[in-house]
Amino acid sequence: MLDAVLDRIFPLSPQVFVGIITGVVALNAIVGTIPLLIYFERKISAYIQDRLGPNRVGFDLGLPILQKLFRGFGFWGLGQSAADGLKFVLKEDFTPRGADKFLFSLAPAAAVVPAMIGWAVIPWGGALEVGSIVLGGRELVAAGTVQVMAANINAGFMYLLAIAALGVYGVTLGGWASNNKFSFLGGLRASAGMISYEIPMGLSILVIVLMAGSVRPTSIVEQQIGDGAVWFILAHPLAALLMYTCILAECNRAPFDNAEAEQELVGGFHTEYSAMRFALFFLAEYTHMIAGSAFFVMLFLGGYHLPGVALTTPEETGLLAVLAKFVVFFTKVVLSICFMMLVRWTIPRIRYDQVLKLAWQTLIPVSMVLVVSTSVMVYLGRTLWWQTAVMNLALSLALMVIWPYLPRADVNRRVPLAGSRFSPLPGEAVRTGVSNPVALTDNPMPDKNQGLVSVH
Amino acid sequence: MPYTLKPLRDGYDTDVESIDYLKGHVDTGDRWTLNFGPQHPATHTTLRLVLELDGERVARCTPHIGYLHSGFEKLGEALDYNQYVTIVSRMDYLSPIANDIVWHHAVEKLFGIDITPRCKVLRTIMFEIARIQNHLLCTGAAALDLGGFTGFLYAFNVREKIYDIVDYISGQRFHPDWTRVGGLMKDLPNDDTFRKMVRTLIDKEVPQALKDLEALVLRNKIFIDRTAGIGQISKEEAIAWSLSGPMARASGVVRDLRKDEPCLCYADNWDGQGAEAVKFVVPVHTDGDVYARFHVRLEEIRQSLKIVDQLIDKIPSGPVDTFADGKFVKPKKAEVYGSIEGLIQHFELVMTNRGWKAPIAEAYGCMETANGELGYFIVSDGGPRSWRARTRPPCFINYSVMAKLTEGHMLADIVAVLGSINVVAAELDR
Amino acid sequence: MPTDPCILAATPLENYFPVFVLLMMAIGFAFANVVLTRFIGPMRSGRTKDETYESGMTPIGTARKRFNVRFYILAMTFLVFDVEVIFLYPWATTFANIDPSGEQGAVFLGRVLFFMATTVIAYVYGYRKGIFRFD
Repeated sequence: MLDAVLDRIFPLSPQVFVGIITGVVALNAIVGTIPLLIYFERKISAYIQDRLGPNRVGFDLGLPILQKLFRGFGFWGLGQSAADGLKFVLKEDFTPRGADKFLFSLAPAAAVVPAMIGWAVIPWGGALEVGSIVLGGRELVAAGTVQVMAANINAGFMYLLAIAALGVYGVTLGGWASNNKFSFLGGLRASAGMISYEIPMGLSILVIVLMAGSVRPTSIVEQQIGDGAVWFILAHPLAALLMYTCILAECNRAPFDNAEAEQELVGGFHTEYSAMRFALFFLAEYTHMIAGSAFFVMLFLGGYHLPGVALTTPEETGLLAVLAKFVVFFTKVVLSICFMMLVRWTIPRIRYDQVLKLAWQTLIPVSMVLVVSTSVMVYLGRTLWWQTAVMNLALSLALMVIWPYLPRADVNRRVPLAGSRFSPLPGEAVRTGVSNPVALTDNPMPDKNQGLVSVH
Repeated sequence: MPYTLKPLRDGYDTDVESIDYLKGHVDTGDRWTLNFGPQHPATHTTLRLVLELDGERVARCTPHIGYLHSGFEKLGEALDYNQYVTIVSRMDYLSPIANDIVWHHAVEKLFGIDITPRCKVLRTIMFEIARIQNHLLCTGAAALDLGGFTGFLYAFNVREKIYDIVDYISGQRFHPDWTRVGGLMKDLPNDDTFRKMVRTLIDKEVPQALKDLEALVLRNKIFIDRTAGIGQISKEEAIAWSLSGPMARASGVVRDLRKDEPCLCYADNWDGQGAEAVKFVVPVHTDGDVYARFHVRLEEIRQSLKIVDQLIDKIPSGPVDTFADGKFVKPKKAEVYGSIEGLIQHFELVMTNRGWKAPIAEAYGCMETANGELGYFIVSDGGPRSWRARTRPPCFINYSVMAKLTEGHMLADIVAVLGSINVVAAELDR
Repeated sequence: MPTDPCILAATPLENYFPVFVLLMMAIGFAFANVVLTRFIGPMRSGRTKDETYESGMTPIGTARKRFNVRFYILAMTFLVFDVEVIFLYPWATTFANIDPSGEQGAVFLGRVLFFMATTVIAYVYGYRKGIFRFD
């Protein structure tokens, strides 16, 4: 009986075996990298702003014996993120009155789950030659050449886009469930922004798909390597620019961080969240950044390839090559994230309606024009990298020339609204005085005289 | 007593908590009433706006004040003319030293004292440095309010240097309480050190900060898109709402008390020997929006640098305290211990039941501080302290236009407008 | 007994198995955290403390009322475009692999250009209706 069941399961396909291992390792690597990224963010912002950043919190945990051991050495503040994480766990988990308790708890999970599975189709390490694993006379894993990625799906991009679209649920749910107006506005902003930027993102990926003729991630990377092939960022600079902008918006990063605009909405969708549930939102944001950057690296920056290093070409399938490729890939991802941080700490936030306007009035038309031009180029057979690069640049130039002549709405105008004193509807009687006598009504709080009740 | 106060009307409950905001408004059925403040990151201290939101649009904006009311004006009736400067310092805490100077300007107007040239020069220099201090925070915060934290810190770094100067001359970084009736708390510890500190500030540090700030935001497309056309107010309206300072000048109102009612070194013949007034230009913008105010403030920093530059190398020697009839300033320690007149004079000034014999009169002294016309109206009943010390805070008047500037704009614009008014709640609520 | 020894290999879905494992791990991680933090941290409540945050004041009205979102048309427009993008992917994959410059290529290109032109009409219509003004 057992043998029969085992016979049906084993031998595993090597791709699934390696995929599970890669997935587990990469998941832990990503979750482990996030505290480091937060530390980077703080340090980078500090250097930009002429400050020092965290430099005191080491790993002594406040214990005198460890303090003596380290002699006050701060480990350059590396313990800061660990301390923050510990604090998140130990903080009070607060649920406001009137919140939808189930959705309120579900929202952080709904935010973090898509973020944690979205990068499954990223080819971290190229191809790997695995031998068969035999245990007790039973072949557990068959031999073969596999891709070092969690899921070698042929519709990889569709998967990524689909999962990325799921990310909006957590934010919107969290905003709605809190029963807080700031949160709700944040959730609305997030949903509108994220769905708007999905379209130009999809279209700019389409450009690459047109060039590569495949939606399988591994083949996209392989097409950027080899004689005569260049990274797609050189062949399609405009598409890369569009894509990066959309990734920033999809990750809710500055300058598109309207969903959590501190100066406007306090905390945005996570205003009411505390403790680990807040940390999950935080984790989701950073995981999104990693996944988005990995996606960008895969599409435009040659994936695991480093020019001039033979070890990082697809022909190498040894374990050492995989490790080297992984290091190269991850370094590129971290650099891309550092660039995101640089952007965040340099420019102000775009206003919410301008964010949407940028998507609908600029990015979508431009990316559609780009897709049409690229398909015409493909039709004409002009697909050498410099030809498409020239097309991209010419298109950018043309857009810059005609842009001032396109019709545009004045966004900073005052909108007349009913009941407004200083921006009334045309023809409306304007009341500038106090329309209601002060304090003729009862206090809106029904149980005002009830004292504080403390539960355990 | 010159005046009597009437009590508030009976039955007039001023408890803002009990106002039903939803009543009496045009209810389209899908509007929210939202508390924006007092505990909110963008209301720099404790301001409260009750917003009626239609989508993200602000249909109605009702400012509430008083969350930082500390009874400052009432304290002016309990503290004498020198002591009250400690309270005045805490009003507009972005540039405390300017408040000190204006307060004693008003007091000296009441007493009819003309201060010494050295005191005038020192006060003018510090007054302009205070303006730089204030404008740096406001322009930096303009970037901060729009989400650009870096510009804020670039501006804030230099304020640190200004605090060092204030610390050097007065012994306190934040609340210097530097002026006294007819003079200063004390003379400069060392002229050369002071000159060196100010020189570094105006030649290197502030221009560098301005350069950084402008590079970051001034021509930034995002910044312009978010500020141009927001919170616009025309010249006529600005006059009608009695705006002052950069708020008015950004709308094209050409009014600067340094030119219109000059005192200190802004007036001609300030040293009694025909010295010319300091030369500077009053920057005026015509757009009247948030961006224009930002521009005007930046330009005013430049003009302030020019003024300090004209004065810093020719600080006249001589006493800082005036001895009109020896009745207004504390005598020197040597005199107190060495002569009976000095001792009596010291005693007269220090004892709480003695003090000045002020003229029974009213005086209004005002000067152009960074935010606009800051004035103090003093009613004296002849005692050592004012019977009434009314403040004319520029923030309060400028803030009254808040609803007008924001209605019809979006929620995010409230922050930009609030930053451009540069409300200091401590001064607003007093 | 099926002849194929591996049920996972019998279907092209085998490559989704690691995704399933990841999904389980992610869900486990998320819910473990949500549950764990309830037990570790302190739990206190009080009338004022439980209030939703509205800048430190008592909330005026509720957040669960009808609200002018102003972009529900945007959401519908999004659907138009998103579906369009999804349709374009299979086309793009095929178009690069057939001989694009041949006769078939011209037909392929023409069809998709027509398809995109219909979207452009939708876009222009939406623009004229003012749904991209966001106020």
